[in-house]
Amino acid sequence: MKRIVALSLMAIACLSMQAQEQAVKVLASSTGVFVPRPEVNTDKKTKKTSAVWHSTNNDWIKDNCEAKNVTVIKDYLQLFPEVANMSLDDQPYMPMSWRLTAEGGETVMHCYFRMPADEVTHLWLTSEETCLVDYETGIQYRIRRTEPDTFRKHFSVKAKKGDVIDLKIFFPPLPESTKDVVIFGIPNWYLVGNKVSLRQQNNSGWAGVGFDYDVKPQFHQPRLLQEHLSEDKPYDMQNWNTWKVLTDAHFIKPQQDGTMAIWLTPEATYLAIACEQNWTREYWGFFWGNEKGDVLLDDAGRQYKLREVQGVPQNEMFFMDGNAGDYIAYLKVFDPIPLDVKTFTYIEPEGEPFNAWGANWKGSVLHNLSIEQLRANQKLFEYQPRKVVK
Amino acid sequence: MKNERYKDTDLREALRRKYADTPQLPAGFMNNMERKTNPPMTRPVRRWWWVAAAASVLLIIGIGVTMMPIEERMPTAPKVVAKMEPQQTSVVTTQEEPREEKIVISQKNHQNKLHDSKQNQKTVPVIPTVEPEDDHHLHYASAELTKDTLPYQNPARVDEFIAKMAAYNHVKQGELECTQPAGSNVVSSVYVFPDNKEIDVFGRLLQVACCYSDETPGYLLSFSHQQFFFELKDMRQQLQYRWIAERVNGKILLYGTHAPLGTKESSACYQDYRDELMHTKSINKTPREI
Repeated sequence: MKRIVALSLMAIACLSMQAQEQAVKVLASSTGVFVPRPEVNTDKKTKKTSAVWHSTNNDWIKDNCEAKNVTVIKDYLQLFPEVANMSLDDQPYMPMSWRLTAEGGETVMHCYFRMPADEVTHLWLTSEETCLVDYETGIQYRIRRTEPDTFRKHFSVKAKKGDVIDLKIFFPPLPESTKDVVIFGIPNWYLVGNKVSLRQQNNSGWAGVGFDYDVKPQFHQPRLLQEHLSEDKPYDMQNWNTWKVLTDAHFIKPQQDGTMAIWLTPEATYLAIACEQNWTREYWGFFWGNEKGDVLLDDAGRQYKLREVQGVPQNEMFFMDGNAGDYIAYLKVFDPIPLDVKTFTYIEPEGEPFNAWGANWKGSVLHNLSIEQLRANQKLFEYQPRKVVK
Repeated sequence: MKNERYKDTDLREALRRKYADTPQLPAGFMNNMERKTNPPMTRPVRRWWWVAAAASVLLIIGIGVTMMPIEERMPTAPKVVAKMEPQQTSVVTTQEEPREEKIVISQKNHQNKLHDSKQNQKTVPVIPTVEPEDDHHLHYASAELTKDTLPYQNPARVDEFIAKMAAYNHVKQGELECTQPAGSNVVSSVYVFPDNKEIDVFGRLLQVACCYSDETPGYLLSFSHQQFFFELKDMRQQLQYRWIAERVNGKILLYGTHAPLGTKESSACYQDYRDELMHTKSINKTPREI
């Protein structure tokens, strides 16, 4: 009896592991573009609602069908939690969300459609134009089929208003080496030549596993050299003579101005930025704790705010004393970014106008910074004492 | 040795006498204690079987959870992968322009170089910033009691910024020919900006959006290379704001709207304007001049 039980348990465990191996790998996903919700008509007798999809522009194709056996997904808000607070059925705009996955030995594009009415007509999903192109190799992975079958046809769908249906497009499997694909031929999801980066696929095969937190970086802290440049007065942004003077920055090997590196820890995110010292004294200003502070923004719209820049005065302009020819780095500390965030946008807001040599308070926005690449840059920021030969 | 045993006996006797008057343990006390510490082993085989089965089930669940993909384990994790073009170099840098073209003094957050040269230096054109209010709280404190947990930020400042950005770039507000439902109090505005790096409409809008905490009521920010979509609620004025910027046919259509909370809004205006820019009306529907 004991042996039978033990063998049964082992068999269940093996089956469980096999099932896990066939699990879905998410290669890319997006909440999608928000598009106008079509006008909804209500049948007075049946109270059923219907809508005609507005963005399909293939009227020269006359084939029509009704999509049968459509999959309705229940966990849409779990897949896209960023819209969880949105009253999606009252919105005049609706997100055209999608996920690209690897499952069952194929690449599958899941196009999600939230039913604005009980019946929607004049929809369009794919045609022979639909394909994925490996951005590095140029290899085209053409469409194999769709589920339900709507290939090269206008179609109507019946489901309950508010249901999210999953329209699947099947492609050949992508090699694990593929980093970026360009998606063509899904016009109602605005995917007509859009380049997307695929999530890192490591050797273990499970996206997200393999990255761990970094150790907090230790940077050399600058020290205060003078409380004021030349006038012993309270700090005045418009009078540089009242600004502090710092020295002994964190020296690094020569790097291109603006090179960055990132360290992720559970407590904070550290972002180092390389700067070239072109003059004996250069002025700087870092602002945080208010709306002028830098923000990192992930693709779901979550913000990670600047907490401090190590060793420099907060919300004050200051001078850094050094040698022309020094390469230095500042270390910015942000709210912690979760390990599953792969890219982010760096937002540097516009600053306040001020009077100084060639003052520039224009901010900047840097899109799509790869955390993986920035982590690889960490070694560029090792402290290297200044070496001078006369 | 003998001596020690004698002393020991003596000590025991002394103790017995000393504690002779202490209360006696109740009858059966030791037996009860023994029963509690060593319960009788009834049906030992069945008990073992259930423990083994439970342990096995826990083992299977443990294996399952361990092997489960991380996306399934963390449903709230962001699912979106970058939609903008990634940088091609292995070394990531903030440098947006080729080094040769870099203006001498324009690097970073108000960074500049102080030196005694008198050469003319170009400054980067700057759009007038939205004038900060001296004190956001004072403005309202006199009239209203607030239950805000965050410092109040007026969403209308986004509209002010857009108007200034348009004026600076000589972009006029477009005319909306469509009509919202009568009496709906929906206020809309539309601009068509050139899509170029100098103006960088998406970047500027992201800068403004990030002035608002992501805990602001109604905060929803969705952006990609194709579209910027931003919503906020003004709980003091009871208004709902929305801004959509979209790359359409080599231009950027920027549409802003606000209405009292709960107003039934339509996307028809936006759709009409977009269709005009896309020339889809002229292809499929009634030809109209833009």
